[in-house]
Amino acid sequence: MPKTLVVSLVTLVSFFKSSLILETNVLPGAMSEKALQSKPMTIVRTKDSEADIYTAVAKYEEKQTLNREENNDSNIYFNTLQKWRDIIEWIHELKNKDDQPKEKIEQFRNDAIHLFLILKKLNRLDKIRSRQKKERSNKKKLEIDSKHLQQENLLNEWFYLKKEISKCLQYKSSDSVIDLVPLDIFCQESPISDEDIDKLNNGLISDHDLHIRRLQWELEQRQTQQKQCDEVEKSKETILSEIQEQSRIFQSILPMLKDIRNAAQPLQQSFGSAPCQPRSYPDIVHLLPKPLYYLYIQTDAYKEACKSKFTVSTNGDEEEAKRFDFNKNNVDDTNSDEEIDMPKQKKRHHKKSRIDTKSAPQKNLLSKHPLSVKLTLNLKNNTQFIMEFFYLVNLNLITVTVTSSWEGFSSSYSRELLSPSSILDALFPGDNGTESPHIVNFHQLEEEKTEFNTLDVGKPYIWAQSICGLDFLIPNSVSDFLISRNHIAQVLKAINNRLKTRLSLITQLDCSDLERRFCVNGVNLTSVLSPWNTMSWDNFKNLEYCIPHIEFGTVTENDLLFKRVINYKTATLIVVMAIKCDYPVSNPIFALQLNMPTTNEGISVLNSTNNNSVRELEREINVFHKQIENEDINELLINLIGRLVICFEVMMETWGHSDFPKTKTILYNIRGRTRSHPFKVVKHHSGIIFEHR
Amino acid sequence: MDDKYYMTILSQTFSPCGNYLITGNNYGILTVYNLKNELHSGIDDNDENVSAGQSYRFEMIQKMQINSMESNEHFLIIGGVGVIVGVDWDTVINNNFSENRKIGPLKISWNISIPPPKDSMLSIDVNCLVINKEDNILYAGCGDNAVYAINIEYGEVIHKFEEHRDFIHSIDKLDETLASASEDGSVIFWDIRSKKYTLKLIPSNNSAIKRPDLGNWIGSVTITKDWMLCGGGSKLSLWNRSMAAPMTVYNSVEDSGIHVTKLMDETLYAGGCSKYFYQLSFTDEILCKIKTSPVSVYTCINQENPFKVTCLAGSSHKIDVCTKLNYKMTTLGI
Repeated sequence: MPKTLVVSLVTLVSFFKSSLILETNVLPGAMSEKALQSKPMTIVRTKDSEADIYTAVAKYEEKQTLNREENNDSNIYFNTLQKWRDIIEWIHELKNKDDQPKEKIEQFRNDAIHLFLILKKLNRLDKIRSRQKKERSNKKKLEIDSKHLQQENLLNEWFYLKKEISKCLQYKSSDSVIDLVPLDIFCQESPISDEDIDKLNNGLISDHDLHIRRLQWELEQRQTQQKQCDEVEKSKETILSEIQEQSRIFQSILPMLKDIRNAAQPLQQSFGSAPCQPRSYPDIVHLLPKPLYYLYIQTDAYKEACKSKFTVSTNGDEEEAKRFDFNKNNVDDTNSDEEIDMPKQKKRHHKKSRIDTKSAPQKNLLSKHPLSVKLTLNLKNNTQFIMEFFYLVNLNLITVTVTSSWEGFSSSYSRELLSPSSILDALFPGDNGTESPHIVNFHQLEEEKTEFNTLDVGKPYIWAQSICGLDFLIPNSVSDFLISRNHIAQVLKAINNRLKTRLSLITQLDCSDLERRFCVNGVNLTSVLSPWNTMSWDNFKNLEYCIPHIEFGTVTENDLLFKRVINYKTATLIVVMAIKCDYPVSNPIFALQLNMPTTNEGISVLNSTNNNSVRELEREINVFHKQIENEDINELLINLIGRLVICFEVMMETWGHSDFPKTKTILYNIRGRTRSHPFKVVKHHSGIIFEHR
Repeated sequence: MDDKYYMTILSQTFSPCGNYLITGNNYGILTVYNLKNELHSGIDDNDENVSAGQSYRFEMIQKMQINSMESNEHFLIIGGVGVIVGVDWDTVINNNFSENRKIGPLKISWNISIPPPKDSMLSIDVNCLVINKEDNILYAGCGDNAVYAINIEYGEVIHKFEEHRDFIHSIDKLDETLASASEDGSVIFWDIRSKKYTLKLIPSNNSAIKRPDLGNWIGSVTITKDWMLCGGGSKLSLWNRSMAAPMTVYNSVEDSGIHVTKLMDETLYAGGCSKYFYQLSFTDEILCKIKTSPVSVYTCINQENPFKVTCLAGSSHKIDVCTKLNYKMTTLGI
């Protein structure tokens, strides 16, 4: 079968060849067809290999399709078609003719067959071409598909990356939590160059870079600090171990020392010297709260050093103190547990003790430590002046109460002057002990609506805090023995001085031999003086002639007030004296009122608010103090009263009243528009002369 | 004790411009107040600029008590003890001085000493000064019972009016007449031209005027063309000059000694050792009384220009300032 096919094909080819030749004749214009002719000639030779021919033809045609212009082929096709049509027409014409030229028809038929062959050939070529095109387009399609796929992949990848980026951007790093060294300090301390600092100042370094640098710096710093910390810990440990070692050694030394002491005792006894006693304090001293302990130790030491005449002792029950300490420690320890563990109990408790709750916290706030320190000053006449120092545990405050056993003082003013409640007031300026110097206390007391009752607990003088080592000006102060040591001498001296001046003041107030004293000066005084009496603040502030002093602030509620009357013939001078707590640093202040007979047997009441003479007398005694060097403190008040009496008599004698004839040497009675009196005492060779100031 | 409590201001005067009040006290301290600012601050406390004008102080030579002051265009004239001194206004009035500056000494331009009489230890107070601005003659009532007439251009005493038997409290001058009031209880009228006294009145001779408990002294005298107003230990009394007889005796005034009298615009002013400073009519009738800060008022001065003001001072460190004489406007020197 294939053999027949090949044969037919060969015949076809040969036919085709011949037709082509023919064609050239017919169509002289078809140059390209001539080109087709050259190769098949060789192929035809090998008739044996029919299959080869077939494939070769197929290959050849494929090649042809590649090499040939498609448009040319289509031209050929159209031309051929035209020729075909022409031939058919011609044949038709010929056939219709009656005389049919057989040769001509045969020729035309051949030509038609040729043309048909060409058409066939073209058809084949076309088929091949279309197949090729299809193949190519398929190929392209595949390509496009693959490209599309790739694109899809890339897009996905892009999305993913985008996501990742946003994730990265949103990532919350823990670096923001770290406290960094402030920027300015960082600039100063970190080892970055000046150039970088310049950049930084000009904003050239991005925030991120800067942040990284700071973080790095922070890390470095922390690492070094960690190292330091480790070192310190290590050294602490070594020191602790050293201490342990040392204490162990000391412990071992102790029995040895005891042995030595015991061994030495017989020897010392035989030498007659007292066995050496260490300076030991009774056990109870060690139970004292710290401030009182300091007070005890310091006063004891001071006593030892200065051989002062006072004793220091503790007061209170030792057992109670132990219990108090124990309780306190327990409370400290269990405080936190209590609150968590026992809410039930608390509730019940609350109901029960509701009535008590009001006063309990108050009491609690003002509660004293069971132990106190007693300082006893031994004065003349077996008089004891006892100061007791308490420690208010919750207020962290020292208070003082005074008890004293004065003997031989009967007058009302001596009670006032030595009154335990006020004798230590204003020992130092402004220190009146009326309210706590501890700032915190105010709010504590306010909170509990408690008033600081000095009668109950004593007075919280500032000096008392000082000698116990408390200083509230230093925040978080703990009792400091240095403060105590620095103040103790000063305070004890001040207290001694205060007692001395008060006692001297009392003797001066007692003194009634004024006349004798001033006869010596050549001035005869005939005034009669009443004894001193105390005066209450309420009385004082209601007196017309005392009010200006209060308004001007020269006399205050804290001052001790006394009153006496001086009679000179028919005139009566009421003298009100205010002695400051810090006498004799500030002088006593006098307020005066003169009662004087008038001509119509009435009495005119004159004082500094309605009479210039009395005002000037007051001024004379209050303002112009004689500056006597080394003036004896025990004479100060007596001298002052003496001067007052002299000036009073001089005033009366220069008043121009018939009741008061001149007894003193006065040059001129009254001078100047103020009609002032000659109060100034001038010593003259012939005696005392009174002059105007 | 603070001696301010017992300060006594014996004299005051205004600066020629009228903006400053100068006071002198018994401690010899001269204080200058910027009145304009003080009054202004009383009206409007919010003005911050006021603080610029504060008071400032000077110290008199030897811390001598300042008894009296008078002023003319060039000088502040101060009567001290035994001396009258002149101080150039330019050295006293200065805006640049601040309140807290150190008390500076006064720069004395000239001084006239009043020597004590022979065989006497008395130092003479210059209790009152009146200047006649036309011929620059200064009249000074002094502690040696005499009134001096001094030409301050030459610095010499022209005349010494001597008749009183005790120190002079107060003098007043009108035209050619000089009136002087003395501790001895008399008021004497002098003729300046003839340098003789023309009239001598002793108010305490009148039993209605005499107050035996307070004494006979006359603390102040004021004269007008027709009237003479005086008072002291004796009651405040208005006298008719031509008749030399008391016209009104003021019983309505509660005082224990008159130290200041004034007569202006048909109104009488009187003050002294009393709670009040009085305005009175010619017929024993109180028109108005102001409660005063000092116990005794020793000095009262007033001016109309550049602003109307009256200042009262005395035995206190406080000075009462009134712009209308009906009420106390403000108090200085606190």
